[in-house]
Amino acid sequence: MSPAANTTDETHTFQVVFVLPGAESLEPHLDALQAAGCDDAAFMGPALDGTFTAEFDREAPAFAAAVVSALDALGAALPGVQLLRVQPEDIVSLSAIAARTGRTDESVRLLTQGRRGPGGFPPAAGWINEKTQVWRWADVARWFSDALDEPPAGGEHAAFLAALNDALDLAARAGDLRDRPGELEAVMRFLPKELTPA
Amino acid sequence: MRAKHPKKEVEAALQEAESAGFRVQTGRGHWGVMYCPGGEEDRCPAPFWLWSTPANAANHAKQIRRYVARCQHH
Repeated sequence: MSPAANTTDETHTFQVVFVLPGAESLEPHLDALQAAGCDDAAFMGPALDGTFTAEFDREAPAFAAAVVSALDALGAALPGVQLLRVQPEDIVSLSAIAARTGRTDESVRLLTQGRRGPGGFPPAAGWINEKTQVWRWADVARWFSDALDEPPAGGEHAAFLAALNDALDLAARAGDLRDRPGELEAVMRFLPKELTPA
Repeated sequence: MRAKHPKKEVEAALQEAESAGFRVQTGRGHWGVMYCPGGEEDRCPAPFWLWSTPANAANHAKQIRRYVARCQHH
């Protein structure tokens, strides 16, 4: 049974991409997924890269609560599951920025170059090939809100999803460093104090 | 003719998907499974598992419609 709805709940939509080592199909796992209350999600996959996707429309008082309860439920239903990321994707191309902000690619390109708008567009997070830059959506959404007073729809969750996805990545990397305590300690030194228990 | 889905909102979304070339196979999983028109190279990703008693039938219908809208193969 999904979490009970009450009058302050809203419906939150998001996707969880995960890997289930050794699983070629989700069919044997559907009973467990329903028992864990995941029947508010559509399950798809596997994709060519072996990942599965669960698209949730989950009732909860807040977006973060919806996401966390969904991740907990997936973990309970699917022992050994590797949670890769929660979408909407934080890494965005120029075209994805245009789609999310209702602009043309050219308009966004001019904004990124400071040739239109107030300037100060966030620096790219990286290049995926010689010609294609990508940005962190959390940074871009905040710039649209602060610099242009045009907060993109759904942008209010960008910072949370960016941090959560980084935490999921860090959990995977910490597993890789399990047998290398010196390197693990080195990483721990740089964990932000906001994210370490008091 | 396949069996109709017990939830009318879901059945309506499935019929729209079938009109767009998606294939619904009943008797699998909890009720059935849907495949996009793409073949082995599908990236949608397929298959889409259909609940017989989803937590919210209207939302399950929306999930089907979003999947159809995102599909690159039709």
